[in-house]
Parts: sequence; structure tokens; C-alpha cells
Amino acid sequence: MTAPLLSARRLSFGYGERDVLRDVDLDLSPGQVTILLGPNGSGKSTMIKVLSGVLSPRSGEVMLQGRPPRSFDRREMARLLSVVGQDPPVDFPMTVEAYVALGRFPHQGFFGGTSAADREEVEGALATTGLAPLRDRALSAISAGERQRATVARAIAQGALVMLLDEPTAFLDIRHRVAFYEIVTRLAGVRGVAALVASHDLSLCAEYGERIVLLSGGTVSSQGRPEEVLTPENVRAAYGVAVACDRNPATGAVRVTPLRGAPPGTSYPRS
Amino acid sequence: MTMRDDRGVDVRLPVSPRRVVSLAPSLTEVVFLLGRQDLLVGVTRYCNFPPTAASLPKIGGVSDPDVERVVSLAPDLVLCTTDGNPREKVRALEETGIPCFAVAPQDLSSVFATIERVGALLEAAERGRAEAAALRRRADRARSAGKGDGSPGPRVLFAVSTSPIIAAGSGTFMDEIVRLAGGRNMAAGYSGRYPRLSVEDLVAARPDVVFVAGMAGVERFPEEVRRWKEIPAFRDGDVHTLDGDVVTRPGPRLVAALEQVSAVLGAWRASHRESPGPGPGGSR
Amino acid sequence: MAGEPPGIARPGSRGLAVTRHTGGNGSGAAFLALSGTLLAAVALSISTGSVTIPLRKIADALLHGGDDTPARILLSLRLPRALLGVLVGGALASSGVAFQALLRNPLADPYILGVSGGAAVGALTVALFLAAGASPALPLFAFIGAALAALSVFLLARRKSGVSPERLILMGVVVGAFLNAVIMLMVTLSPPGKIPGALYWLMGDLGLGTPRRVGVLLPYVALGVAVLFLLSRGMDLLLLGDHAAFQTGLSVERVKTATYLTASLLAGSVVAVSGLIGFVGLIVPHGARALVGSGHRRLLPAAFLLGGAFLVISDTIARSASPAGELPVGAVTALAGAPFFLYLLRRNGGRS
Repeated sequence: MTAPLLSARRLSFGYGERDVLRDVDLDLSPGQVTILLGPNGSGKSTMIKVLSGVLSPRSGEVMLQGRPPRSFDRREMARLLSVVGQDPPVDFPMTVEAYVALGRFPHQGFFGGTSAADREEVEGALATTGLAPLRDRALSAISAGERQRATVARAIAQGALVMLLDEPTAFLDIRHRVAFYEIVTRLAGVRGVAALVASHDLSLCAEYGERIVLLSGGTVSSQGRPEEVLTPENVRAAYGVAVACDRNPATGAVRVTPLRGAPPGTSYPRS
Repeated sequence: MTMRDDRGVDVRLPVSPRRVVSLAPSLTEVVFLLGRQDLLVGVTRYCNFPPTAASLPKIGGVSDPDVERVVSLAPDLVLCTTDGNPREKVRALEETGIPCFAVAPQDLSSVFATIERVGALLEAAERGRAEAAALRRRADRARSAGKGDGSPGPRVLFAVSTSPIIAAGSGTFMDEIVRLAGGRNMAAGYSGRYPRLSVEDLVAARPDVVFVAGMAGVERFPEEVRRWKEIPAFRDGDVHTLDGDVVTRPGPRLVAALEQVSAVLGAWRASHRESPGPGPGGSR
Repeated sequence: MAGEPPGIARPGSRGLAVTRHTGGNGSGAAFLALSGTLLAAVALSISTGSVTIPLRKIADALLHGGDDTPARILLSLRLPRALLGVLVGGALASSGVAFQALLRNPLADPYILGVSGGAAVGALTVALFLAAGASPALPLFAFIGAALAALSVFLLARRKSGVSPERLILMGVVVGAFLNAVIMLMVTLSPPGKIPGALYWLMGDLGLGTPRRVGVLLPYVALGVAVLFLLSRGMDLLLLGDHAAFQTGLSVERVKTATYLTASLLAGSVVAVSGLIGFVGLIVPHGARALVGSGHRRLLPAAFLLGGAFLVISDTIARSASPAGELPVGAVTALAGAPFFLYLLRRNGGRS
């Protein structure tokens, strides 16, 4: 296994008294898709913010290619690491192509022109995400799923080797979720991207993730291959839900099925 | 007694008013002219002529009279104008039982008529008629002086603001004064009472004499305007300032303004009769 | 099941291609058209006035100068006024583009964050209480007022995490409301008769165009517009949202501060010279976007040209259309601008 592009060691972060992340260790290696799982409030989004440098950890360290984030200037950092998050909508007329092309900023700066390499990258990003036929459409004239893909395309065009994706499939339908995971897998396999996807989707992530990191209450409760992490005990400890885990006979991947019955702590209305 | 005011309302009036409030500076001046200032118990904060008027109790402004304060003075008659006093405030006063008599003179002759009517209201009818007659005579004298020898009079600009240039057009007292004094108001052709003009408009119209209704101290035109020698008034220095209060109040002092304007225009006529071409420059 | 390739474009996708391809040639023609329009607007403006000047004389005076009356009218009155219109219109449009990017809001204009209120208070202080008439202090006080107001909005909106558009708008509203109250107070307490002149200034007046004033304003506008142009890519990225811009390599707080200060000073300096002319900074950016797209490298120059043309034409109409003398140019821009804005909104259909 090649050296990790991003490593986090004993990462802790909190707001005031409250600890949101405690003692998190994580490695992201090239060509690997890591899925960050955990219930609401477990610290997934915070983790991505700390890893990407938006927030500074209280203790512990993050290393990118062996260097701390502080040693990079903004653009250098952006050439190495890109983030796909929940962006506010763009209220102005902008074509999909122009939007994706914005991802080239770390390579162009304020004054650089658009080079052949820039154009190539944008083309490639559009092709990978299947958005080439929509390139001239306005962002507001495409569907939410297509907009999400455009955000991924922009991150692809950025050409970074580390991609952090924060719950990008939250409101999408199954078709778009599948498309998304296919793209991420392709990026990891073909380009050697180290991808971290924060997700809720227990079934799909078992299908696509090579490594799963299960966050619960701000700490890593387990990490490893899907079959190691996705056990009924781990899932119940993290999510408070009883599940059955087996192998999907069609695909061979771990399959997580919720068992009927109210989760502990909830109650029925009195009839 | 009952008299119809300028609103067309028949106002029931006390025969012998003892306590009178004026809601406009022009009306205050009229009351003083009639010698009945002893009746005044309240005036606006803008009533500054004659100077003793300023020491009378104040009841607010023209567009914002303080109804409560007026009522607290217990007047038996309020003199007001439809040209500035808000209708609702006057109505509020009337609802408390105070008779309000409204006037709105639009030209000189109605100013004179107002003096007579207010005189009748304040038991000074005789005095009212006399004063009005005196003013009429003065106005007539000024008007005949203005006729001159029948030649067209000077082109006049009467400005109420110098930057931007805003002129008094048709329907204003200033326009009437200029006409009576024998001048030609260059702003009379515009629709609207106070048209805004550009420097180029002045160059095109070439006023011979310019009057400025100064509001507080001297109003000077900006340098960019004054240096246009094509405008005879600036070339010859024929720019005169008049007290803004005087020319905008429909009161007795309008006649004094008329006389002043007439004198200036008469002087212009005289100097231009001697030298038919444009006169040499000279500041006044 | 794994293995499904991402879909091709769905048949029947909604919407037409409502914006231009960002390729080069389309906008080249647009810029040519805009420059031509601007020149035509200036030509129209200098040919219009109460003194009739034949075209031949106009050309002659422009080429050879001259000391006679028509030449002086052209060179000292009409031409500076037209040039002032270009500078003011272009500056307002550029400032509007910058604020719309900074606040990520298509309804932002240069006055939204305190500039107009501050300039008005500064100008009214001079007009009502200090000077008896036109005073060279008025533009200076207007500028200071605008700058102070914009600065207070910025400082009030600033927090450790930086300056967010939402907080800027909020503080802008608060400061604006406060300044409006101050203005009302000033108008109420002012000596009678001084208000009309001040009100006309507030409604916008290009009649103060002299060669000297144009010369004084030019470096400020040139500098401000140049700085904004340098920041264009930054403004593109700001549209994505602060986090996304940060992740794409932008020093977000620095770019926001620079954009805010430059756009405010640009607006403040033209307000100081020509009063509050509205609508230019609001709708010209949208018109320019319809022509050259949202990329700020093209948008800023296009907005400058379009804003200059729009204001010069509005001013020409304002001084020649009415038998009641000059109209305030701000009234004309609003009367022309509102329907045009509606048209743009309808044309761009289901956009927010």
C-alpha cells in the first residue's frame, strides 16, 4: 500500500466545553474509497471541516503528503485537496461548463488565462460525470441530481488527489446515488484519487466502500473493511437500531437490513 | 357674523375677536400692518417680520402647527392659509370650536383684497382699506414705471436656487412682479412653477437681469455659471439678491419687492437706452 | 446493482439554453455592440441641448477646439457632462456587479450597505446647515459620509469567522434605517427654503459636470474599476459560497474585504459628485449578464460600458424631454429601469 496522502492522528475538536471529535485516527490512501459513517451529530461534517483546514483541531494533527496544512498556501492546498459539500444555490445565470471551470482556479490564480490543460480537465470532468450534453444549460435549469454531479465535476476539474465529500447524496434518488458512487469509484480507480465520503447510506456504502470508518459520539468506534465494521453490534452501538447483517447473494457485498421494532428510547402513543 | 373664506366655507366669526392666532408668516405681517398685533396670542416659528413678532408665543411651523398648543392659548379666531397649513390640522381646530378663517391669495390684487378682509375681521376695516389702497397706489406707480417707452423690457431670470438653478415660472408671485415691472420672465414658457434649468438653458435665453431669492445671506451662482460672458446679466454684473422671505410670502412686503425690481429694471432700461449695444462690463 | 454508468442527458429536460456559451466569439460581438452604443450615446448627448448647434459645428469644435459660444458650450458644458455620465454610470454599474457577487444576491445595488444614507447625511449637513448655496465642501462631505457609513456596516458585520453576506445585509439595513431617520430629522429641523436644492442633489444631478470635476473623478473611477477587474476571478468564486470558495483556493476574507472597500469607495466617490442616481447599479449588471454571461472578467467591462451608455442616454432624456425644465436623472433611470428589469426577469423565466 502506498503512503497515505492524508493522515490524521489523535484529532480532537470541540466548541467550548463540548467535544465533537475525540482522538480520531484516519488515513486516506491513493486509489481508495473510504466511507465515513455515523448518525447525525456524530461529527462527520466537523471531521471533514477539520481535515480540510476550515476548522483547526484542538489537539492532534493532520498531515497532507507529510506536511501540516498550515505549510500550504491556499491555492497549493486546493490543488491537493478538494471538498464537495452542501453549497448554497447560485442565484445567477451560469452555465454548467462555466461552473465546472471555476474549479481550475487553484491552477490559474487571479491573472492566469485558460490553458489547454484547463480545458482538458474541464472536458474530462464533464465526461466523467456525464454532464457534457448539459454544458450550456443554466445551473438553475437542471435537476438537483444533475446539479450535485456538477459540484462533483467542479471538484474533479480542480484536479486534487484528495477528495472529501460531505453527504452529497442526502436528497437524491436512487438513480443519482448510484451514479454518484460509480463516479467516485471510477475516480479512485482511474486517477488514484483518495476519496472520503461522509454518508448515511448503509447499504450503498457497503457496496462501494473499500474501507468504512464508523463514527459514534465523536470517536471512531470501528474502522476497516465493510464486513468487519458492519456488524449488528457495531450498528446498534452507533445508531441505536437493531439490524441483521449478511451477504447479498447477487453482489457478495455486506447487506444491512433493519429489523422491525421501535428503536430503544422511543415510545408508542397510547391508544 | 359670518364671512365666506377662500375655501368657500362660511365661517361664523366673533364680532370682536380678542385672541387671534396666525398660522402663516404672511398673515402675521398683515395683522401688524393693520395695527392689530395686540390681538395676536400665537404665531409660527417662522414669523419674523416685523422683528417684534418673533417674541410672540410660538405654536409650531406652517406645515406642522401644534394643534394642542393653539387650543391651549384659547383663541377666538385662527387665521390660516390653504397654501401651507395642513387641512386636517385646521379641521381639528375647528372641531374644538375655534373658528378658522382661511385665505390663499394667488396674486397681488388678491393680497390687497386679503388685507381688506382681514381688516374687516379684526375690527380694522377702515385701516385695512387704507393700507390696501396705499399698496395699490405703490403697485400702480411701479407698473407704469415698468411700461417705460414701450420697448420690450429686459429678459429676467428670477432664481430661487443657484445650484441647481431653479427658476420662478408662471403662477408665482415672482413672475407677476417681473411682469408688472416690465420685464420678460425667461422661465415663463416652461410648464410648472419652478422649472429646473441647465447652464445651457441660460446661455440660450440670455437673461439681461438676474434676481436671486436669497434665503439666508447671499446666494451666489457657481463659478461655472458666472463665467459665461454670453449671459448679459453675468457679463454686466446685473445680479441682484432679494430677501427670500419677501418674495415668497403673499404679504404686504411684496409691493416693496415690486418696487425694488422695478427700480432695477428701470435702471437697466436707462443704461441701455443710452448705449444701444451691449454695455461694457462693470460690477455693481 | 453496481455497474450502471451515469445517465446521458434525459430526454425532455426542461429549459432552453438561456445563457450564452462562454466561448470567445459571442462576447466579442457583444463588446463591439456595447462600445458602439456608448459612443452613440455620447454623440447623442453632445448634440442635444437648448442651444441649437449644427453637426458640422460640433465636429469642428471637437477636432479643432474654438473660443466661440457654440464651441465653449460643447467643450465646457456638454462634453464634460457626457463624460461625467460615462464615469458615473460605469462606476455605479461596476460597483453593482461587485456587490451582487459579494452578497450573492441579484437584488443588491451599490447603495445597499450604507453608502446612500451616509452620502445623503454628509451632503445635507453642508446644504442645510453649513453653506449658503453651492459649496465645494458638499462632494467632500458626501464622500466622507458614504465612506464612514460603509465602514461602520463592515465593522459591525464582522465577526471572528469573517464577514458573511447575511450579516452585511442585516447591518446595512440597520445602519440605513438609522441614517434615514437622521435625514428625516435634518429635513424637519432645517431652515426653510434650503430643502429644494438638497433634494435635487439627492435625486441625482449630472449638471455639475465641468472639465475639472471630470478630471478629479477620473483617477478614482479608473483605480476602483481596475481593482475590481483584478478581483474578477475572486468574485466568480464568491458566488459559490464562502466554504466552497475557500476550498477552491480563494483567500475568502481578504477578497471580500478588498471587494467591499473598493466597491463602496467607488460608489461613494461618484455619489459625491453626482448625487444619488438609482437603478443603474441594480439593473445594468443584469443586462450585462444577459449579454456576456456571469464570468466577471467579461461582466465587469461590459457592465461599465452598458452603465455609461444607459446613464448618458437617461441624462439626455432628462434634460430634453420635459417642458417643465430638467428632470432629475434618477427619476428617468427608475422610469426606464423598472420595466426593463421586469423584462429581464420574465425573459429568464424560472430563475430565482
